[in-house]
Amino acid sequence: MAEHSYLGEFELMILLTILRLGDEAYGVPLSRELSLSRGRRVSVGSVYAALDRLESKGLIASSLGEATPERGGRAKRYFRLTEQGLRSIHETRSVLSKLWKSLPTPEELA
Amino acid sequence: MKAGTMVALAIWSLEHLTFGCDHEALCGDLLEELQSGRSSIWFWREVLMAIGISAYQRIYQGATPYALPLVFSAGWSALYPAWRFLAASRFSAAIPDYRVAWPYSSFQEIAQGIGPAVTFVWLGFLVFLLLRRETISQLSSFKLFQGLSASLNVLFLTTLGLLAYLGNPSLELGYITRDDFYTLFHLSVISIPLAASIFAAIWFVLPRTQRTPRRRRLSRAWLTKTA
Repeated sequence: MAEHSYLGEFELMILLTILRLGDEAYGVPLSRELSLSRGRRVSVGSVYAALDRLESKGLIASSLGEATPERGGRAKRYFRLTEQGLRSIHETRSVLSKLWKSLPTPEELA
Repeated sequence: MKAGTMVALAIWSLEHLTFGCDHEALCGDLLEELQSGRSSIWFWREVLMAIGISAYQRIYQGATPYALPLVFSAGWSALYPAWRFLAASRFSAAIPDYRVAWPYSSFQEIAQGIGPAVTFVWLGFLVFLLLRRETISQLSSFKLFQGLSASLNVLFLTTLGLLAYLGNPSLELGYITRDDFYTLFHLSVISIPLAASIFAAIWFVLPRTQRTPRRRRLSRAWLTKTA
């Protein structure tokens, strides 16, 4: 059996948010989007920790962008999905879809 | 304390206490959020969380690569009595018995004394490398030399420390030449110099993670504007 590493909930959300943001995927919009999606505050530090983890797994890649004055001269770090990252999302989706099929409706439980 | 000073202090903490993480981009993101209207309390909270997460990662990731070498070093050092029994006599026999004058005779005696320990340590190092093929692929001859050299130094220093610990009135290298130094009367503690020596050799050849430290001072005007 081939070895798979399925994504955790937060990792999956980050990858999907990177996809949604496209060329504008860096720390600030990522944490804002994630906070909106999850309905609770997401710290920028925890987003970076997950991004570092995903990058070390080869699921995303990053590049440094422009340094703007409102950032105190610090460069932005843009993230994009790798081919492996996209494949990993599809695999996770496939597994979850199979599992979701056995979920009973509230009516069935009653 | 002024808001600008608080922010500067938070940035300093972020840059100096988030070990190895990419604080350049993280710091920029936090400053961008601050510029868009977040409070300095929010900024501090984010900085403290980033430091906490970084410290946790540092401990978790930092401990993991060294766990296996530590266990291996401890386990290998426990085999030393068997090595001594099986190979030490052959090792002594292999060294030509030249009669040389003092002080060169001392070197010969020391070599005969520590030879089995050094060969045991280097054999353990070699076994570890063979078991961890991915380490070999990243190994340069300079790193290998560093590892072997470090193991010798650590073995020497920890052996001297052991002599002091055992309460010898004076540190005499001659004790090392005794046949039973590495085996009999302090078997329980002798594994410490051996294990430390093997671990030092392995530690030097383990792949290192890259750090990109980069600091940039914020201008006073920027801080005043933020405050």
